[in-house]
Amino acid sequence: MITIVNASHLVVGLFALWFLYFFCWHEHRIDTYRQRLFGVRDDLFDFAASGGIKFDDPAYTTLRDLSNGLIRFAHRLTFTRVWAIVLFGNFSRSNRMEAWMADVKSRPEAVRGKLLKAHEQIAHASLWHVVAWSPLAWICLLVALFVGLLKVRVRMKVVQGPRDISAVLEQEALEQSSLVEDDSCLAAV
Amino acid sequence: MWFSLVGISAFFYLSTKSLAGHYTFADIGIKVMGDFKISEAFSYLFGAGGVGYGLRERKLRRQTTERLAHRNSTLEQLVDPNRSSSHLTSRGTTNPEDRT
Repeated sequence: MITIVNASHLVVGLFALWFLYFFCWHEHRIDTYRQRLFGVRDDLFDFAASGGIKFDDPAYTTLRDLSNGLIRFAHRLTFTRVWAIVLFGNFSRSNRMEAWMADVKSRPEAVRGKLLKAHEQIAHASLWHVVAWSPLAWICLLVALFVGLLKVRVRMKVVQGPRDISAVLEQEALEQSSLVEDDSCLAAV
Repeated sequence: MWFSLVGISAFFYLSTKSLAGHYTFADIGIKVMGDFKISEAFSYLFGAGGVGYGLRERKLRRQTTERLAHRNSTLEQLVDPNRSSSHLTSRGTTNPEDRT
């Protein structure tokens, strides 16, 4: 009988942890990520409003579309999903962000610096959101570290580094937001 | 998410399976409540209180977002009439249509 009492306490605790992780912590992570992206988007808006760049400039609209796409689909950005896209998705090397990058490099120093900084902040927030708070990512990183320490050569087609993960996310966000352009009954947050 | 819930339920089922026919759920419930220590009660209260506080804070934040977001987007549209949106709800939560 003592066993069942202990098991009952354990099960209540496990259910509580389950609720805390999936309904509290998970939502909090998404909101935090969106908050960071809203901050970047607002900074860009202020930069454009102060005359730094035109509102219809492709360099501005692409970055705004990117942040909007990532904000909108933040709930889909999980480590497993990104891992699946990187491994099995059609990862095109010539994507819209590369064209954006080439365009930005030809801009005046002040504009280039501002846009590249915003882009870096978006990439950093995305990487942090996907990797830093995922227990599965921690396990994978530990395994990767262990494999690296043992100097085992693993032949596998994976990403070259964190930069590629950001590139995949950005391309996905731009494609998703251009696929769904339906305003229906939603406020323009 | 649902796999872990099934796992916890399976664990509970397996741990109570051996008692089938010996005790009723009422027996188990009385025993659990009877063994409840004051320190455990405070632990549960602390945990539930913390979660409840967090949920109330979240609700308040979303109400604030709802109150301020419309004003912000209206003002920004005065500056940029073609201003694009993230398509979140007015409370800053995920669009139900995007959940699928």
